[in-house]
Amino acid sequence: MTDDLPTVAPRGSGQLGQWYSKYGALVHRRCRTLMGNEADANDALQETFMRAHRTPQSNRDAVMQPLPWLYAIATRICFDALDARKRRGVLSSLKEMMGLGVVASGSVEDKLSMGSALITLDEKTREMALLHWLDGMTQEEVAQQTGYSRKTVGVKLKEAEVALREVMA
Amino acid sequence: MNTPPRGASCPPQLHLEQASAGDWLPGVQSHVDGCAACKTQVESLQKMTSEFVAARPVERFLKQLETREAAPEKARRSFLPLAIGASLAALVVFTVVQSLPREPRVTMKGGLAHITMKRGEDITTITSKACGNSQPGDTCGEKLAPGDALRFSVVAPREGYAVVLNRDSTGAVTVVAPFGASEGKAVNAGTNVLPDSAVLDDVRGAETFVTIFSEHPIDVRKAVESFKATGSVSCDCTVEISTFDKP
Repeated sequence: MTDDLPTVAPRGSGQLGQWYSKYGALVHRRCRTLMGNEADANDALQETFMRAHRTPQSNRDAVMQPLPWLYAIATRICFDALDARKRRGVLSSLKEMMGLGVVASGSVEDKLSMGSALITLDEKTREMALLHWLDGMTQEEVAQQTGYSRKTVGVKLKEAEVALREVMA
Repeated sequence: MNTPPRGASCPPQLHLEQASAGDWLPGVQSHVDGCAACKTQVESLQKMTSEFVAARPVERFLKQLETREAAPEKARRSFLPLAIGASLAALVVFTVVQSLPREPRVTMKGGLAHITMKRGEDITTITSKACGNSQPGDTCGEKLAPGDALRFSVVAPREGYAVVLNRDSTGAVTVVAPFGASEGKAVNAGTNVLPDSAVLDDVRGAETFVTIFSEHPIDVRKAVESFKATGSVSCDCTVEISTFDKP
């Protein structure tokens, strides 16, 4: 679809354009959830696709599941930005979601401050929290995904919940 | 967009999101066909994507990327005046610093990097000790294989920044930890597990990893260019180069 735009599109952007059409909205949604506002989400979305574009073609070709791969890039970008800015957002919606225990429900706007809260966690716990609360995985699935035991995942998610509640207090 | 709670047999939200983009993992489509809640969820996501792309056409987005790539340092959004001031101040400092006679000091160091390898269910720690104070071109004893997942730790002597680059036998260089990073990861003194794992592809031959630590922020793009060109990096930093064979 974008191959006829050589004067506009960056080199090698045919695949990039296709990925944007398929995954752009979802990646933007994830960035919006973590960053808490539209402008930062737009910035993170662009940076995500820029980094995808900079990835050697051979590596991009080896990506079997583009969406999780793009999510991983986007998540890194969002947390780097949040880490740098030490931003703290509104946490009321997260409080509600933590009360429900399942963050997979609710609107995107309900999750606006999630990244700001998760930035307080260590990398491992944060990864598990994202898989559980954003990707909607069970503890068992998180354990399979991360290579940790179900017990460790449960403990870490409990720690995350406690830490997040403290942040919200 | 409201998402119903996940049913006992329903796939994870991530798999529904993949499905909405046309990437159906095994078993998901048959489930969605028979699950009204998941079907609604997938259709809602598809509608969201359609509306998103209609509002933000791909051509415009690629143009934005082109602009961003051409001028990555360009101030964005409403911070332009502040950014210009900060840039000018930084330029003055940079100019003064650059005017001083100095060369990048690269220190080769063993024990900086620890690499953990996961192969199937087995997890092995491949420490840099096996490589010693390796030099570019050295081959450590460990044999890697496609599909191996490597995770990197850096033993930082003090607070600073760290990043790991990889070069395969074709010369392709990838920032593997943190994956795709444009700047080094801030680390504390001691052992720091860096984000992201590198899953090895099918390209055979030598796999070289360079772990970089610096007290100062690392310009990763510059390090990549240097690594591509010379097999090492040019920076005020400490590096450890570990080369493995992937037969």
